[in-house]
Amino acid sequence: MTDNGMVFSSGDAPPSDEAQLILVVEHLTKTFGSLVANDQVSFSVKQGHVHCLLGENGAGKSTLAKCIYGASKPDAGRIYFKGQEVAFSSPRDAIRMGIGMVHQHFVLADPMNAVENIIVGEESTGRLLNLKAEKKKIQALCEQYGISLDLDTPVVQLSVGQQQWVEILKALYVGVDLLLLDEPTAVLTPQEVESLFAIIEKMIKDGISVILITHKLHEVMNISDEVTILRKGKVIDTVPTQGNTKASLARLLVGRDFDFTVHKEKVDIGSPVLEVEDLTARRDNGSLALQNVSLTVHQGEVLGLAGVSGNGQAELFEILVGVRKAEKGNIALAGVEILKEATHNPETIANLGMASVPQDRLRQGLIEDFTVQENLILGLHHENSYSKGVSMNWKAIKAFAGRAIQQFEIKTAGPQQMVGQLSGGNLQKVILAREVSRPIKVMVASSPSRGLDIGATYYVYSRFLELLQTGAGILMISEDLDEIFNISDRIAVIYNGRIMGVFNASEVDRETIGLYMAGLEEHEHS
Amino acid sequence: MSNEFLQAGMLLSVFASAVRLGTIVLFAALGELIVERSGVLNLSVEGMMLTGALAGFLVGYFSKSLWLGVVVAALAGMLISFIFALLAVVLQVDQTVSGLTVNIFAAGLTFFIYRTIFPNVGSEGTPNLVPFTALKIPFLSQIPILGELLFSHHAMAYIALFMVLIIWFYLYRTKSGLILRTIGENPRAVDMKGINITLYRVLAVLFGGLMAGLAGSVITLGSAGVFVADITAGRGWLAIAIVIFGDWKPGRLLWASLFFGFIDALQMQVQALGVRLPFQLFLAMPYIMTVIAVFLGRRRAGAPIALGTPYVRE
Amino acid sequence: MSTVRANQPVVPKLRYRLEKRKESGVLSSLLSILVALVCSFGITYWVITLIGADATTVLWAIVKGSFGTKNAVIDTLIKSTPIFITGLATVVAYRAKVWNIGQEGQLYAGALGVTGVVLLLKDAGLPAWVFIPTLLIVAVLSGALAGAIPGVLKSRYNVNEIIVTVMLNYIVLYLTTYLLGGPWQEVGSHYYNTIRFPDTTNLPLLFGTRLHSGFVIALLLAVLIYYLLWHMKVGYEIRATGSNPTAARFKGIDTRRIILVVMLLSGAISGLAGGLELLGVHHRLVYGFSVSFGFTGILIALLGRLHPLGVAPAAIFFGALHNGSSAMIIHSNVPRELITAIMGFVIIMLLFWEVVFKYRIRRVEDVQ
Repeated sequence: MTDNGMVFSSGDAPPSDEAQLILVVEHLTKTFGSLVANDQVSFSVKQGHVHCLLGENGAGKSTLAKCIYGASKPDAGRIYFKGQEVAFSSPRDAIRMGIGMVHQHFVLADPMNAVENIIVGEESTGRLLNLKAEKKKIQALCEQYGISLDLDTPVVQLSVGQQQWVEILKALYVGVDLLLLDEPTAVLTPQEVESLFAIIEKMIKDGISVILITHKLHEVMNISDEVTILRKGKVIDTVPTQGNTKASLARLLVGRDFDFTVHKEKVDIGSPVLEVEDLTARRDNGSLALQNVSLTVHQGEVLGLAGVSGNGQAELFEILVGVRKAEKGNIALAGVEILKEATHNPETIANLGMASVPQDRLRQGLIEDFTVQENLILGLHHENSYSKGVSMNWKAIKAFAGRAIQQFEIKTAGPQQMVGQLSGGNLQKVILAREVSRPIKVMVASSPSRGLDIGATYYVYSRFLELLQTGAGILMISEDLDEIFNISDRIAVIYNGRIMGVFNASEVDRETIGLYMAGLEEHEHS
Repeated sequence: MSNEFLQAGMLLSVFASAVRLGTIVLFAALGELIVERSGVLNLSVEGMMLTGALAGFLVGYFSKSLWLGVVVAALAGMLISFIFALLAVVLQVDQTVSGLTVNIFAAGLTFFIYRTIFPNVGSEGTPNLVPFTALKIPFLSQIPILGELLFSHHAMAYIALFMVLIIWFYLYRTKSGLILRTIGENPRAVDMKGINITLYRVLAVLFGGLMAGLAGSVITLGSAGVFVADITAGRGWLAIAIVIFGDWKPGRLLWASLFFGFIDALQMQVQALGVRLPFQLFLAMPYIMTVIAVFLGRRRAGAPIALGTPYVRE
Repeated sequence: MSTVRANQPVVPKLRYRLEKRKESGVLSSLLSILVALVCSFGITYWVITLIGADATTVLWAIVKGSFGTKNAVIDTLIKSTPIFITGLATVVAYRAKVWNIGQEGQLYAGALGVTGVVLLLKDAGLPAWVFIPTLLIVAVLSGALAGAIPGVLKSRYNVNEIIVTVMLNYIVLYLTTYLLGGPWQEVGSHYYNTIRFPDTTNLPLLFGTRLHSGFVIALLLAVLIYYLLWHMKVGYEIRATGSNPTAARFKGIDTRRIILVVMLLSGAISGLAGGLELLGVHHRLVYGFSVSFGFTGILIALLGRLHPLGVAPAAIFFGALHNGSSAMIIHSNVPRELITAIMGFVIIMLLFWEVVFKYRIRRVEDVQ
């Protein structure tokens, strides 16, 4: 494969000491202002192996990957690739040397097809496009790695899994020796994950080395040869996967015996607070987003709605909140029908007792240029306590903000600080403070702990559990099975806009949920 | 019998006018198309056209060479667009604010320069020059009717037509064009491959300035022969509307420009016909049609996804 | 395969890095404004010298012409009134990110409405205290009507308001020339103007000078707009719509209604400016009575950072320049149009330096 005679090593063979090191990272440090994202990170990757970088959100994995890939310049440290010291000034340098990266959030041009997305910007002779020849080349690659893909449709019409294959093809097209995959399985069903791993195995056989960045323990156990565990920017250890268990890795991950589930006090389940019946709705482009969806959330329970994003969850959230119309169906909030023309708007629904925590905090939930206090009353500004006739009552609002900051431990310089300057966890706290400031009957939360570190995550969960004790019910929409299994009492699965099954959380396991998420089974559910 | 010839002759002259006037808008629209395909919304087209109109006029007047005027006009348009590029692309100031500001600045600057050079317009008479005459293509223009219709237009019209082909070819058949289109849809996709997004966008804006400058020169050097305030009369805005109406496709821009040229040309003829409606209604026709055009174009799906959004690398 | 040799000396290398500040204080904002103004002043001085005039004389003439005598000050305030109001109209719209470029047309619409009603009722013998408020209401409604067209088109059909408002400027202008050259033209006049309005339509003057009460109305309007945007619920919704329409919608703000409201308000305010200018200064509708009041209003709003507190001094500054430029023309061969160019340049400088002051250069130690 390369000229200094690297040794092939298949995925099954035990890591041998003779295997060459394709990548060596030494004392790499990267700071952002006062935040040390990577602190003297050192590890090495054996050629032809799958090496995992394991760590929680905020451990520094993405930053490290960016440094390796050339998108970021480390402040200190050295990187050796294929035996030579390298200092990339841009991803282009890294690509030229043979390092490729597949990002967590895809970077595709929606209206253009796979071929165009793969070849755009690649160095090659000539100024003119030759799409037919390129398509043939890519088809050959697809066959080589067992990828089946429609190369002519606009990528926006492809499934999420297929879009990821386009991203991978981008790297294979230029020919990489080392491929980094950043949280590749975050948006895949367990079955799609298997396909991905099969492709990875083919790449290994071809001599390509893979770095898999993840926070999912079972994936690490599944496919990797070595694991480097990161915590808060530092390397805790690098260990071979064989000879370790999820438990032992988890211990290294968080530094203590990790309790996989959140302790929940027993709460009585009461009457239904949210009844969705036969809900059907379309997306903006006319396709069906939801088909005859029925769900019930009771007082005191958390109903987790699991599913890969893109299967109708966003539309469901928008309908529940009142910003999207449904085609047919009923939704009753504590007995009150909310899909009627008169009631189906965000203000009325909120007044009836619905709280919502959106998936994209800064885009759907907060106004970046507004102050903390202005954000805390967004949606509440018509309340008598915060307004006087047609005017705002800033005195009362400021007092409320002060209380909220204290109660929710929001790290901010004060109620007048611009909300855009707060960190992710504090943004979520602002949203929570706002949403629970009035007595609520139902909360709809979408990926509430996404992007939050462990501390913030547990904080969010504990406030949720508090809500349950007041007699509210929670519908939690998430694609993260950890999150789902952490606090749900019951779990529903959505696929292609349909509810595939509803289960008691204690009676079902991840694999089963995975099957339903992939649409492979449909369960008679009540 | 002679009535029919009269009508045919009138139709031909209307068509000739339509092409002449449509050429102006087509140049500007093609330029703005490239700019918007790269993801930048440049609202200062009117100002850039005005600058080109003045520059072309001044150079044409003093140097007696119309073609030199055209070249300088293009450069002048580029210069103004450079200010916009600096503000909106490099410094990432809000594109709408930048465009409006540069527009107002260019308009003021143009008329200031004109007044400074010709302080006594009105009392001494308006400086003027002889504009381009039609270019009759040998042999082909001799063909009865068709020759008159298709092969006897101004050189700039043929250049504009040629530009449509060139731009189409660039966008869809070259690697650079593919990169440009991708930048307009998702700049991050190409940033990862090491393409300099800022450079592409700045170059696109400069090209738009060049074309707008050309468009302006067609006004003063191609038909009017003089320079007066607001000689562009809103055609820069019309160009922006045509890009929307034409769904960001070069071919459609051509037809839309021709159509608006027709409306413009018709308005002059109608007065000659002695129609009994106030002539201001016909003067207002192009503007009314533009509003209708953007209304009809409100659901156009071809808008580049990243249009108007400055690119920030995370 | 090389590894770091333990006894290799570590040499810190100094690197410079451009870093964006997290927050820019009031100080850096003021500093950027100062630098921008200084630059603009310098360029102006240079340009005037370049065209052969004596810069000091010219600039001094402008200052004297705008503030030198009591009459000059009065004239400055009179000239700043209409642009003050159109500036406020722009602020309301731009705060919602509704890019109204049609202040000129909406101002003319107000003027047309007022003229129409005056011509209709001029012989009805209405006393001033009835006639004037009626006319001002007509001005407001006419302007609102002009603003309604782009407002409805954008809020219901998502049609680009920039193009519609610009087009309407031309359409309203042609309507005006038609009326002034036809049915509304003063009999016997060779110009585009109407008869002089009856004296009962004259706006009351202030302190026995030529300054009409429109100026006071402008000041009151500024306070009103401030209160509207920062102390009223609808103002909160306007600002929210402009800053993040998605989040605003999710939390119950009807952004489409806000877009329409904002265009109606903006048009109404510009219409008022047109009416006031007619009743306070010209007392007839004459073609060209608006010396780019609409576009200047946009400039002022941008200069004033979309805040009434900024619009006020900007309006007076502009009014001063327009006033002083008349003196400038008398004393030199500098064309009046220089002012617009300079003003555009000032805003460019402001935008430029504002961004520059958001960055700073940091020295970073790079340990190899």
